[in-house]
Amino acid sequence: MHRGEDCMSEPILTFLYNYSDTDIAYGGTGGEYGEWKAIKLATGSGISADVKVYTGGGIHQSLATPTEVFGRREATLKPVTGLYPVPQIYIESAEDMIMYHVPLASGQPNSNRYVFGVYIDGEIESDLYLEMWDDITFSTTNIPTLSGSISYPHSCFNAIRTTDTPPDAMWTGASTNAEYLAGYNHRLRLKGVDNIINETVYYSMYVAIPWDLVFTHDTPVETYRYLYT
Amino acid sequence: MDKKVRALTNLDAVDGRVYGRYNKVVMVNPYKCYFIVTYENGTIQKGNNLFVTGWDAVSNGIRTLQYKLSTGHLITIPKMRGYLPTIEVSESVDGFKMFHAINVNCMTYEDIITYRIILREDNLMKYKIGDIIVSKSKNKIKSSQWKFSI
Repeated sequence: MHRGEDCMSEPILTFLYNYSDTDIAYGGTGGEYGEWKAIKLATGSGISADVKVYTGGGIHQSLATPTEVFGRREATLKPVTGLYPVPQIYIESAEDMIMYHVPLASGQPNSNRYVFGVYIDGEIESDLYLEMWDDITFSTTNIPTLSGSISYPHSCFNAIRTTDTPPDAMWTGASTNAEYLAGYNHRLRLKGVDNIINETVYYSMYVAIPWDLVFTHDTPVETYRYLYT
Repeated sequence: MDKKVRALTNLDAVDGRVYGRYNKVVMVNPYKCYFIVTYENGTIQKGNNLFVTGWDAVSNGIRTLQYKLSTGHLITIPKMRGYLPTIEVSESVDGFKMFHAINVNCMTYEDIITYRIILREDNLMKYKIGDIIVSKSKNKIKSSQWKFSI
């Protein structure tokens, strides 16, 4: 029995990523399942939360896969012209001391559908909104990767809803069902309707660095907003 | 899964504080905010907190719906045909939760009137904890959790 069927209360969200190169949906009900791993949250026992790392494209092009040591970063590029989509996403696990590669997020934009997911255990009375903020005050979007540059006057974080359909191979934040994530006004609906019960919603994302972005080391927070009774 | 609110200070007191790069936020203590329902027969029913609200245990026949916040605010919702309160929360992948508001949807014969009770305040937003923003909509809200006054 799902939690939401016997007790109306705050739903439990599980943040998921596909760490295989098989574009297959999540079949579980909240835990790790098949090719899908759960992003670990911080706990009161002192374990740090997992971190989503955008990297690659430097001297070695990417880190070794499927895993690499915790804390390692590969340089990425700031292009001399145009845009440079950061080619790799890893989930850095402080608990496992490993960086897990997310293969389907490589080489974006691409048409992979089941890259990241959120399983909702219980019921929410709204859509699930993916947002990006400067920090956990959930109030500002001033850092360069969220405010953009003169040539790219919006967030560098491109995200697209893939719950119902795979994305177009050349999708950007301006595509249908996509957003340049920045705060409340540029957030992404992950279901498309205002009610979700015991199901998984999916999205894909990447960071694009424009040539005139100021040098920066940003750590914005990825958040999910919803309503429940 | 651990559902405790993290990265807050002073949570055992009246409220919690969050310090950001450009802003400071104060939020209610979600463990100390709850509804109070008074029924037509005089019976009073209290909710739990913002995590497990207890709204599913509320019956029809509501005479008065009130919200008690951890800051001491007591907010009385005007009498309407029916009520559907929803908690607006943000959750980050590092396990932090921010409670933004309680949106009390109220059913009239023609509209849905929403009383938005603010649960956080900061240096940029003009609203303060306990403020109420009232809005009206023709859009119907389908839910099994509507509770009625009659």
